[in-house]
Amino acid sequence: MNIHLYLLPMRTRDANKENSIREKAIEMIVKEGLDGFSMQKLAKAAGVSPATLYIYYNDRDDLVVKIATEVSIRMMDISLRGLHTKMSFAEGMAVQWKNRLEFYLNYPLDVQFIEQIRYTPVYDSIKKTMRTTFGDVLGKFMHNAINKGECTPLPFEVYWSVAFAPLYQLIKFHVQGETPASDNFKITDSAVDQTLQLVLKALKP
Amino acid sequence: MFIFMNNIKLASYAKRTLRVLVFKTNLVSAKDIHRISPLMGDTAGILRWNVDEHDIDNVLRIETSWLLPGDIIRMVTDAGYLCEELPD
Repeated sequence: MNIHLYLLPMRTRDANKENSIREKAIEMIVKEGLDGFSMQKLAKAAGVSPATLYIYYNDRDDLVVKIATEVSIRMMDISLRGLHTKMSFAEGMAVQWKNRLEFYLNYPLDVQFIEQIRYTPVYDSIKKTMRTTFGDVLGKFMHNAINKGECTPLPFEVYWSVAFAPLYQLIKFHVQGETPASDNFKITDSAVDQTLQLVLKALKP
Repeated sequence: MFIFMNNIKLASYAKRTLRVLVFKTNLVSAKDIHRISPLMGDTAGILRWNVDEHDIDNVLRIETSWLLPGDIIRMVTDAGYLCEELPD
């Protein structure tokens, strides 16, 4: 007897549909927050049935965690692109600043989305994934920089506030377009470089 | 004639692939979910199941290879809850 197995499920996964679901979910959570977000609203916005959403995701939390993990990984991936553990501290910082700026300007919604969920329980599981995926490269880079005497050892929070917050303030001015001193501020390479040089000077032992 | 018979066999075999069935329910609280838990766990054919506790439709999601929506609806309604299939 001939036994045939049908391998296609009744509803199949479709990459385009999945992308559109992801995009709409990010847009909705940025606009309305996590509390107002529902699978039904998302289905309507993405042009799929609620049933379809549950093919891709087990439930609402699963959807948020999966999408946020993807976005976080992409963000870190881009931020660390071209960074090598043996680079000099100044060189490695320049690479990271360039990457972070690029990501922020190219994917502003993704950045806002991560900011929205960063302080919710959803982010706990993501933190672990990020640490295991990226902790190694960054950790080794910092370790080398400190050992070579290129960077002062500091508590993480102090280090991060000096190392990256100035860049984010520049970006904020750029996005707002307005600063206390100017009505149409645009971020420039020279403004970024000038700020970076001061940061490097501050972090030098 | 034989070909025709074969087609019928194929159609019934199609039910053996993994499918996701979703239902709108009134399984609102953890207590409700706890109550149907033995039922779901003991039913042969339910590979995985969960209720979306954080969404308004209280969606019951079932992964099965051969159960039909009607089977699930009967089980859940017999346990005293509302259960209707979410349309595609």
